[in-house]
Amino acid sequence: MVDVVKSLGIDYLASNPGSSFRGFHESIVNYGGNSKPEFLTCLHEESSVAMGHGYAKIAGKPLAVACHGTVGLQHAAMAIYNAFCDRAPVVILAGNHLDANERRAGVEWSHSVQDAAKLVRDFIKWDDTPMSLPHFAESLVRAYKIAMTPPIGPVVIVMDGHLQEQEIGSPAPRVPDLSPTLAPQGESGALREAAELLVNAERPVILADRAARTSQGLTRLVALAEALQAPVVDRAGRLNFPTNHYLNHSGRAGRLVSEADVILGLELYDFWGNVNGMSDLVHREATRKARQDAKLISLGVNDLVIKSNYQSFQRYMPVDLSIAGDAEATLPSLTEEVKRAMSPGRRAGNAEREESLRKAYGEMREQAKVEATYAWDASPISTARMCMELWQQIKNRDWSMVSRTSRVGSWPQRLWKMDRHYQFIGGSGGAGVGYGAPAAVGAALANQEHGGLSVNMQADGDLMYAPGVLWTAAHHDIPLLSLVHNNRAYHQEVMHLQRMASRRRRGADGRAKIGNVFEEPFIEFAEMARGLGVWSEGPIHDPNELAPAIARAIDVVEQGEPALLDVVSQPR
Amino acid sequence: MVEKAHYILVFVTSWVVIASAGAAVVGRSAPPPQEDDTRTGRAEYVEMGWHQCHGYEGQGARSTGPRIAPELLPFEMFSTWVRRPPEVMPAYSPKVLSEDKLRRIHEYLLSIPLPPDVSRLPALSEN
Repeated sequence: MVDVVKSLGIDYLASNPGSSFRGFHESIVNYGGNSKPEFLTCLHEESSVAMGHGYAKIAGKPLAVACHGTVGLQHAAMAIYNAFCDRAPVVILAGNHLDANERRAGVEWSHSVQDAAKLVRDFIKWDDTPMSLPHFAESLVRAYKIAMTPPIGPVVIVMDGHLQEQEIGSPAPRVPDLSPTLAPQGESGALREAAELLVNAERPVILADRAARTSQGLTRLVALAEALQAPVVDRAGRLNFPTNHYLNHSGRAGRLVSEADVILGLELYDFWGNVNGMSDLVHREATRKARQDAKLISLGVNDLVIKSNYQSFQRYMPVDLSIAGDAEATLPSLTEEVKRAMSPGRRAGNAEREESLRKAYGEMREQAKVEATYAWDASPISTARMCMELWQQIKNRDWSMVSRTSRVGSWPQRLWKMDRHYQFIGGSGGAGVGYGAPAAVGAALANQEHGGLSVNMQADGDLMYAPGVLWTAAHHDIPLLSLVHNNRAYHQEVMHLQRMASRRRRGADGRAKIGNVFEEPFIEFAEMARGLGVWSEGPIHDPNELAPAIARAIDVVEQGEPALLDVVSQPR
Repeated sequence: MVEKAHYILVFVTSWVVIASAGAAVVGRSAPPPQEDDTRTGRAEYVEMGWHQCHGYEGQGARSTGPRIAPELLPFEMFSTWVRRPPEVMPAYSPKVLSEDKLRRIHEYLLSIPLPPDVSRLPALSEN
């Protein structure tokens, strides 16, 4: 089994130990030399999977997770759902004892299951329960191949305890070669049609969500946007477009969508939600944000992996042209078609468009700076101040933002220069809280190979789901700078309660805090981190104390260790 | 504490709705806020949970609510906005938020100083 894992180039096995995979565990550390894969000691299965989720978005390949097929997979389930929604590969190896005649009395029965993967089958791409070692080898290689073929996603292979512990025999089973599947591309005729629409549009706009899987995706989208001189709205599923490029108009999304005559959606998680709106009122009336006559083009792989039960596929959106194909793989062909379709007259008009878009881009960035000045000296510290004090100290380094940024006002996208794919990895996908901290640690693990500085804007509530991952970071010397965005609340939930109370005329006052805030006592994140072996400072209330604290924390991280700053901050 | 009281129409959807109803909103002056009222007003602002959407300083946030300070509507319009807000913003009736409290909250928001200029902030100006 270890040979199969090694054959796939899997560098890490993230796991909380369990007796149902003790045979495999022992082989990893002794037979396998605890190297490629190296066993990463995790304190919760949810952390193991979310680490794999974050890791894959930087490394471009999965790590493996080992867990009990019963209680372990149950702990892991929410993180698997996030990875599925976010199109991230994780290879999960679930221990089990299928043969009742071989089970020891007691716990081994409680930890056995007829169909282990059933629990998560609604939100994985594939699973199998091999009955022999050759079967295991074939299925694990197949699982890896499936996980990595767009639409990318998590897979589960059940490792039977008897298979793990029996003699292999001679000769050892053959490990089949991995034959990676090329990403599917959009059909050429459809691309030609899409190009015609885009070239002939007066106000085209490109919306990109999980379009850039690698650095090539970023480069290819720039090529398409420049060929068209079309503004791009990055929906932040990944870093799809450089923030310092004059065609990045993410801050003008509302206006651009409402004025566009052609909208190209690239790997949009929710096309409907990008061109429609629904207010959070009792009568939930849908309103179209886009022009009624706007032509809509969808390019992506979402239609290729739809499951019935969980509704993460979002509302059905009728579009004028729906192209099934991986956006990143298809972009060069689409760009070629655009260049081919462009008449000399249209090409000449590009200069005028460029001038206008450069001007609008400049104004958007300047406006963001002005907005950042509000509450600059406030305590609790503003999210703009938090982000810009950090930026001052990392902008001349090689850095990577390994957390979502929308909770801190998206200031990095609005004001930082982000022009490399690894500088932003998007969010959780399924909006399951508890993803942030372990995904950041996993991404930092992947960044470690390149020596970059990983920075994490860590939500306070998220950190409390499984804070043990801080210990994992300390134990394995994973360098990661975390700034806790400590607004001392499940902030969004407070607002939901206010809204409900108001709707029922009960007054949106302080009672909305009940159940939603971390007060009496406040959580001391710095003390908690120290207890888990992580260098930390805080709580920091004074904005003027932030910059020196960040400098001290960076010193620690650059020595190869994690560091955490508890920043008492504004809600958003 | 108080630098200036600026009554300037803030160009956010909800306020524009009020302005378009024909009210005069620009160029009004106000008596200087009392410090005690300001302190109480801040506490009441937080008690009512306004900071959740608009920030402790009324600076607003992209995803939750518009900026409401320090450029501020005159009290009468501010009151209309609070009592009968458009869209998803919670409404605060006099039963929940008395006129006196609302006035103190208004005083607090008026007391918030104007932000520093970008050129004075290296973290922004050097960017």
